Amino acid sequence: MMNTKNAVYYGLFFLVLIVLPFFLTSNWISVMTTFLIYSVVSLSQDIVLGRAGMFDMGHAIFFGLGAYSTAILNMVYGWPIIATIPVAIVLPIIASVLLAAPIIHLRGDYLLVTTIGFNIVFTQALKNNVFGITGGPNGIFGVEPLKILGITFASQKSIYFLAFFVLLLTLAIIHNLETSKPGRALHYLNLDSLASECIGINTRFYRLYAFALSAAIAGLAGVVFTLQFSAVSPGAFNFIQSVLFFTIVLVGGPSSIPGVLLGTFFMFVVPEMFRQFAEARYLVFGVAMILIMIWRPKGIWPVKFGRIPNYITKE
Amino acid sequence: MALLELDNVTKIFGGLVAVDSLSISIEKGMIYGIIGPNGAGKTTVFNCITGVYKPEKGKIIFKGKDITGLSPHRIANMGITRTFQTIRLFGEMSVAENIMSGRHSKSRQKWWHGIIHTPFYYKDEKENWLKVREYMELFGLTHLARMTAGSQPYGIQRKIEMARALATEPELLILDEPAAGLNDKERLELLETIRKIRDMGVTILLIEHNMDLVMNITEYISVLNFGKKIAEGKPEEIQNNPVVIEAYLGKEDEDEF
Repeated sequence: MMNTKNAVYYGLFFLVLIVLPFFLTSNWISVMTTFLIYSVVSLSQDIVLGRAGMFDMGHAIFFGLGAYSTAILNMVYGWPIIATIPVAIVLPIIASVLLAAPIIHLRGDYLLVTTIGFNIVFTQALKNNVFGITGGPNGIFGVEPLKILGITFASQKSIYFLAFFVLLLTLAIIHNLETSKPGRALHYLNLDSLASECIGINTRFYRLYAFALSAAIAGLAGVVFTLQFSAVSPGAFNFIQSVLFFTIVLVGGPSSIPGVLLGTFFMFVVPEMFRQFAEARYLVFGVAMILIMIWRPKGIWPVKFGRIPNYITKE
Repeated sequence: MALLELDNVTKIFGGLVAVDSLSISIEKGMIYGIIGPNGAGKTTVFNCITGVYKPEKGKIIFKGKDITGLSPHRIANMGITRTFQTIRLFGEMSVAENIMSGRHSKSRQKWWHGIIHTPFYYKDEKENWLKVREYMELFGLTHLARMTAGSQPYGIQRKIEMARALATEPELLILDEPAAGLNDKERLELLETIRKIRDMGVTILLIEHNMDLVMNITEYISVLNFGKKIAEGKPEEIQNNPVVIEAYLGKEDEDEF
């Protein structure tokens, strides 16, 4: 159901991302790799926050669980990276369902505070080296590169393209989600939970579904994040990171794929561009955020509903 | 056997008995009306039937099954859907998407179809969108399919809400004041629509303040006052019932609090 104009936009976007690393310095390839990974995490945050409308301010937990699963299984237990990936996806799913199930009925603001609490507990556990496997405040160093079919993803460019592949996969999943019964159910329960229940939508199930799916995607992004730096540390998954993902979705445009991608670019890449201005850039940046929220309360690129097939309006 | 049976249903809010041992019985295929002065507990009855409230006492039996206290989505899936007194649409979404929401329980897509689109997905998706087209044609909404539901005029919004409820293919359709806020022309159209829905084999239970409409369309009426049933019968019996007339004349004073 994607129209030609959108297809052209996405084609151009992908083309730019494919040729970009051949023109960038090593430092910028690294920034863009992280941009791709953060885009994936933000798109997953959007499933819970934008689509299902739940104020999840602890999304870095699922990102971190994925990252740490790979690092711990590889460094402590000697698993090859490829074998750690299923765990890095399933573990965040289990954690998200266990965390969300008791609090899912809470109203937005209460849910927000509870998820912040979970995030703080999570980073404290990592810092205090729980079970002696998380490496404490310094984290874990020296994670091996990914090897698939004899190809080793060790170079900077190869990891960039790995991240690009994960973004494509995420975009495909989210496109499938928004044109399906479960994806629509998330919008319905977000806009009117009671009306949704009264036409037969099990709102509790679909809320948990949103959490589980978004945790799975964030977990996978975590694997790539670990591979990019060959290391993990608690600071990358603290509450402030969750605030970043939360803000990206709101500034970019909840439920809008181009919005979330633009949001990630604006919130992560743009500040990197003005690095020479040191701390002063954050002043401009903060003001810009405020102005966006005032002038475009639905985000830089707001969502457009009306994703309906053409044949239903024609004879 | 009646399609829906309420047996001594009681709902209490704090110290207030909103519905007091109410028993009604609705036969399949009829248009049943519940009337009564403001605050008589009519909407509370609807909320008990659809699972929004759990009654303190009594039983609600639908097609021979006890549905008392089940969650709203389970009751909806069994074949009872409703509209709301204050229209509750998914305002930011298009008209077609609003009606598609009614297809949720009939669509057989599973959770994984939100991740991977299988051939079954395409078949199911098309089937349901075509149903949406049918309901849009039935209510004359086709030309508005892509428009935002929330920005439509009141009369259209009522139609969208009814189309959405009907899209679930219910056996019992509950309408909470369907004529509220409609002009005369729209009210006449509504009468037509309600009859059309009944002719499709759907049983209808409605609350309405507009006496003309109620007397015109319903086949059987229960009158509530202070949560209690004070009369029941055919429209012409109700119209001349002294107890009912008294309850309605007393309405002016009761509005004070």
